[in-house]
Amino acid sequence: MLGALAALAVFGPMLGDGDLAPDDAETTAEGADDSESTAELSEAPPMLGPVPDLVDLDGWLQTDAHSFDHFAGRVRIVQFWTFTCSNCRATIPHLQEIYADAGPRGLEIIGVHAPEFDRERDPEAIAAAAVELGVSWPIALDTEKVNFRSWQGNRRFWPRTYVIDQNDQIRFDHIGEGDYDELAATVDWLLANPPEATT
Amino acid sequence: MIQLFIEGVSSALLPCSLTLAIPALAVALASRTESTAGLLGYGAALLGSSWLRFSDRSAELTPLTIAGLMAAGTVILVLPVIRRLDVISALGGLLVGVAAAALWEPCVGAAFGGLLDDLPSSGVLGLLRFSIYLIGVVTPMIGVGVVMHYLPDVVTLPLRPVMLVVGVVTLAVLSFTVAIGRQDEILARLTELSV
Repeated sequence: MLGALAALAVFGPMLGDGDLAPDDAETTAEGADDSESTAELSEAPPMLGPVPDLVDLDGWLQTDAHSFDHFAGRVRIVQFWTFTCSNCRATIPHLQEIYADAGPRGLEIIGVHAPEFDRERDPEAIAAAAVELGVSWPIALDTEKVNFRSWQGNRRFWPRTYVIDQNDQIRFDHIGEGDYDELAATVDWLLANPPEATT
Repeated sequence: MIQLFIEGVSSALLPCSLTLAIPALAVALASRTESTAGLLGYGAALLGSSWLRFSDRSAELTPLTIAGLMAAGTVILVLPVIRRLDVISALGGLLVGVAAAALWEPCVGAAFGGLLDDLPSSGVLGLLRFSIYLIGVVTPMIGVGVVMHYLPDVVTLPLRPVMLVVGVVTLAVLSFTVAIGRQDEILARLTELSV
């Protein structure tokens, strides 16, 4: 292990910063620690690229929606989660707080449930867990993890939280717990400064 | 740094990390008396490969490549049955570790999440912080290998054939299911059996 660490420490600088995709560079520029986040954004949140669609879903819970298009034109938080993941569960009270504050102003949260275990594939179990955990927002069932993979590519994690603006652009992307102030500030900024509609 | 290590150790105990723990245990069993070397190879490969992957410095491996790496590692762990060498076990563990890193989909806490957000641009410092977290994750697994390594022969000798079969069958099943794209199901079942 120590040998490998030493080798990687030697070769690390040679690898430099790697070939950063613009999306990653912009994500990084925003900072990730709670300590760096602010209650209000000083500038517009970065454009991180167009939002992919949610495809091949096995249905929806807690909504009349039949597709992701149902929520088009609104500010959306999209979170990939699964109900037995303790890190995902830890984010729920923070999402509840943001939903209570910004929901009446137009925010929608979509929890994309990507199961890890067999018992997490059962819609009844997911619905029961949602009630138990206080998840009141729409849930998209990504049972085969098609969207979990297509949205996240080679860097796949539970949970992962995105904010989508009114023009279907990703404006926030965070891995894991934390960064709730930045999340709330991004939502507030987008609700207060809606981008011009694109045709 | 300490927070990252603690988060790594605690995440090793979560079901999400059993994707790593199951192949690690299989490597330890298949390596038999050289379980420490096998797991050190596994841990080193896991660290290097997952850092490359999560920092966007490597391309996604195809299922067939992952299955091939795991199968090759299994064969290397098994072949020199009579006279075992540490380096051979380490090499076998290393190949399995590369495969496991490609399958890993971690559950992420606040400290690791902040690190991952920055990892593509954080260079050597990011690698060092990532190493701290990974050392936390693999410490319990390496610990199992060390315990197995130092168990007295009178305990392990009668069990060695069984340990070998269990380790090899587990890795072979994982290789096959990865090759046919059904690894999620088998890992979920193995994980549910183990928790």
